[in-house]
Amino acid sequence: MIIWAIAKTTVGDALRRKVLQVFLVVAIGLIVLSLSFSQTLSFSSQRGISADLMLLKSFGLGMMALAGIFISLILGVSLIPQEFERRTIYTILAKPVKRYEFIAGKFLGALLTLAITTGLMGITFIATIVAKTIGAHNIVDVKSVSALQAKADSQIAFFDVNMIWGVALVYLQFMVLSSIVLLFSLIFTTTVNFFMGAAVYVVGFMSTVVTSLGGAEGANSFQRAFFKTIYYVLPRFDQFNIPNQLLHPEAQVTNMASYTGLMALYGLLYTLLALVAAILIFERKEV
Amino acid sequence: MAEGKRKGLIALLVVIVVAIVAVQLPIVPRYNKIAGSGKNKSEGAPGDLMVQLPGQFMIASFTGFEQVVAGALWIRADDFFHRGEYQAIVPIVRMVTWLDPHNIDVYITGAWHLDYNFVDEANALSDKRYIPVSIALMKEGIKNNPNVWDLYFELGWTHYCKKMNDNAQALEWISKACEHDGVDPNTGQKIRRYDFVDRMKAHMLEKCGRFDEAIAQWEKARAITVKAMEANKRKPGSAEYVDQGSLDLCDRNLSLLLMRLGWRYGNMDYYRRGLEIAETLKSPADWVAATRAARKDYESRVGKQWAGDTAKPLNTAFQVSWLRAAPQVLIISGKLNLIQASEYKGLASESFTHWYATNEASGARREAWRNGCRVYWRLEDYDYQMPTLETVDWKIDRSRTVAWGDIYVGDGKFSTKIDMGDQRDKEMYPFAAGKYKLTVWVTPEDPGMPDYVQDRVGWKGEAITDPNYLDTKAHPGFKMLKKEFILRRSDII
Repeated sequence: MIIWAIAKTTVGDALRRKVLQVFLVVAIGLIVLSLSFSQTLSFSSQRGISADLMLLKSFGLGMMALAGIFISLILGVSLIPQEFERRTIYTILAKPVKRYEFIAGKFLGALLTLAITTGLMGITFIATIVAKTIGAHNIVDVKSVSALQAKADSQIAFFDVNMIWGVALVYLQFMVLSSIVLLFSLIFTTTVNFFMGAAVYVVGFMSTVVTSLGGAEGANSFQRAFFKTIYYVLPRFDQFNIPNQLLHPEAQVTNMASYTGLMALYGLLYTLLALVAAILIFERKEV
Repeated sequence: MAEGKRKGLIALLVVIVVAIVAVQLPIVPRYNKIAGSGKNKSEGAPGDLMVQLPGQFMIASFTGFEQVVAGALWIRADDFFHRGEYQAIVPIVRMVTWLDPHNIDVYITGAWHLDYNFVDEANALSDKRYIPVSIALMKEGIKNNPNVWDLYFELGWTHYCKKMNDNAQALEWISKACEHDGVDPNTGQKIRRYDFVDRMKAHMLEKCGRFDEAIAQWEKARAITVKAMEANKRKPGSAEYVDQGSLDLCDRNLSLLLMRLGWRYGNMDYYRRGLEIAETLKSPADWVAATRAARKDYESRVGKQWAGDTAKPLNTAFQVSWLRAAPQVLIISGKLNLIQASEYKGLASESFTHWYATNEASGARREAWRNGCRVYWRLEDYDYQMPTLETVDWKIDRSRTVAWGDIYVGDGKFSTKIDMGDQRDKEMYPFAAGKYKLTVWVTPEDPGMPDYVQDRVGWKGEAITDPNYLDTKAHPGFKMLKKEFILRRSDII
C-alpha cells in the first residue's frame, strides 16, 4: 500500500512536469505528421505503399525511442534528488515508511509514467499505421495502379503485430535506463547523472562496437580488459533495438514473441539489479 | 539496516547477476541471427563503412531511424539522378544499402547506375571502370538477400550478359536465380518466381551452345507454366502473369530451337520434333504458314545426305584498320563479308523465314546484304586486367584507360569514330600508360547477334573461315574473328 501511494504521487508529479509534456506532445505530433511521408515519388516505387509504410514504422519506432529516452533520463535523474531539494523526504521517512519502500514506490511511479507516455505514443503510432494502410487500400481501389502492384498493396495487413513487439521493446529499454539513472541519482549530482545515464545508453547501444574495440589488434591488455568489462557490465541496449527484423517481414529470422519475452526477463533482472543496488546505497545514506 | 539483511541483499545481487548471465545466453544467438539478417554483410572492414557514412547518418542509425534515413537518402538520390549529378548517387547507394540491406531495389538500381550512367560526352560510351564496383555491389546484395531470385537474375542478365557479353557467367547467375523463389516485401510470404527467369535460363543455355540442356530447360519452363495455369484454374489469381500466351511462348521458342538445330546442323530428328511442336500452334497466321513451308522443306530433305546450312564454309574476308584522326580521336574501319544476300539462297531456314525470296521479289529495292552483324572493339592499357573486387569500393583507379563498344556492319563495311579527346572526358580517358592494346573482334556469341546471321554461320561460328583473323583459341569450341593492335601512347595523343 505504501509503495502504491508513493507511486501514485510520483505519477501525478511527473505528469504535471511541463518538460515531459512537451517531449510527449512533440513526439506524438511528429508521429502523426509522418502520415504524410512518401517514398513513392522516388524512382524506387516498385514496392509501392509498403515502402511508405516501412518509412512510417521506422520513423515511429525511432521517434518513440528518442522521446522516451529523454523522458526516462529527465524523469529518472530527478526522482530522488527532487525529494531532497523539497525536503519532503524527511517528512516521508519520518513516517513508518521503509527506505526500500520509498525507492520501490518512486521507481514504480516512474515506470507507470513511462507506461502512460509510451502507451500514448504507441497507440498514436499504431493508429497512424492503420490509417495509412486504410488509405493505401482506398488508393488501390480508386486509382489505376498496375495489377501486380494493386494486388501487392491490397495484401498489406491492417495490423502488424510486429509493431506491438516493437513498442514493448522500446518500453523495456526505458525501464532499464530509468533504473540505472535512479541508481546513479544516489551517487552523482543531477547534471552528471543525466550525462552518465545518456552515456550508459549510447555505450550499451554500441556494445558490438565496444567488443570490436576490445578485440582490436592494437589494443593492449588493459584496453582489452576495460572494453570487455564495459561490454559485460552495461546493459545491451542494442538487443532492444531491432528495426530491420521488425520492418522486414521477409527477413524474419526468429520468433518475436519468445524474443520479446526473453528481453523482458533480461530487462526485469537488470532493473532488479539496479534497484537492489540503489536500496543498498540508500539504506546507508544519511538523511 | 541490519547487517544480516544487508548481506542478504548483496547475496541477492549476486544471484541476479547470475540470472542475467543465464538469460543473456539464449538471447545472444537469437540476437546475432537478427543482427546478422539486418546487417549489411559487406566483407570490408567495419571501419570502412563507418568512415564512408557521415556523422549525421551514424547518429540517425544509432537512434533507430535507419529506414527513415535510408528512405530520405533514396529520394535524394532520385533528385540527383534527375539533375544529372550521377556521382553524388553512388555514396548514397552505399549508405542506403548499409542502413537497409534488404532493400533490393537499391542494389538493382545502384548497380545499373554504375554500369550504364557514367558516360562520356562525345560517344555516349559508359565508363567501364565502374563495372567491377557494380558487380561487387550486386554480389553484396546477394549475400544480404540470398533467398530471393531477383538479384541473381539481375547480375546475370543486366551485368554479365548485357554489359560484359559474358554468356557463361550470365548463365551461372541466372541458373542460381532459378533455384530461388521471390518474397513479397509486404507480407514476407514466398511468392513464385516469374516465368521469364526460367525461360531466360533456356536462352542462355542456347547462347552457350549447350543445346540439349536448353531443350530440357524449355521443357522444364513449360512444365512450370502448366503447373501455374492449373493453380490459376483451381484458385484464380494465384499465379501472376501466366496465361495461354506464356505457354505458347515456351512452345514457340522450343520449336524454333529444335528447328534451328535441324537447319543449322542437319539434325533431322530435332527438325521433326521442332515441327511437331510448331504445328500445335494455331496462330498467328504467318507462323502457321511458315510452319507449313518448313514441313515441306523437311519432307524434301529427310532421308537425304545433308549436313545443315552451316556446313558450307563462309569466307568472311575480315579487314580492319585504325587511324588517328586527331589527338585522342581514333577511327576504326574495315570490311566484313557478313552476310551477302545471296548466301541465304537455298538455306533450310529460308523455308521458314522467306527472307531471300521476298528480297528477290522486291525488284529494284532488292538488298545486296543482310545487315545487322556487329564488330566489337576494345581499347585498354596494355597490361589492364579488369579487377575483381571483394568489397564495394567506388573509388576507381582513374589512372587506367579502358573502353569498348560495337560498330554496326552495313553492306559489308564498318566504321566508327571514337572521340576520347573531349576536355570533359579527361578523367575517363587519362591515357597515363605508355602502351595500349586495341582489339577488334566479331563473334557469333555476341548476345545481340541476330538469329538470321547465326542461321548462316551457326551458334558457334561453325561456317566462319578467314585467311587472316580466324581465332579458335579464345573460346574453345567457338570460332571468332579477332585482330589485336599494339599502340604506343604517342599513336593516340
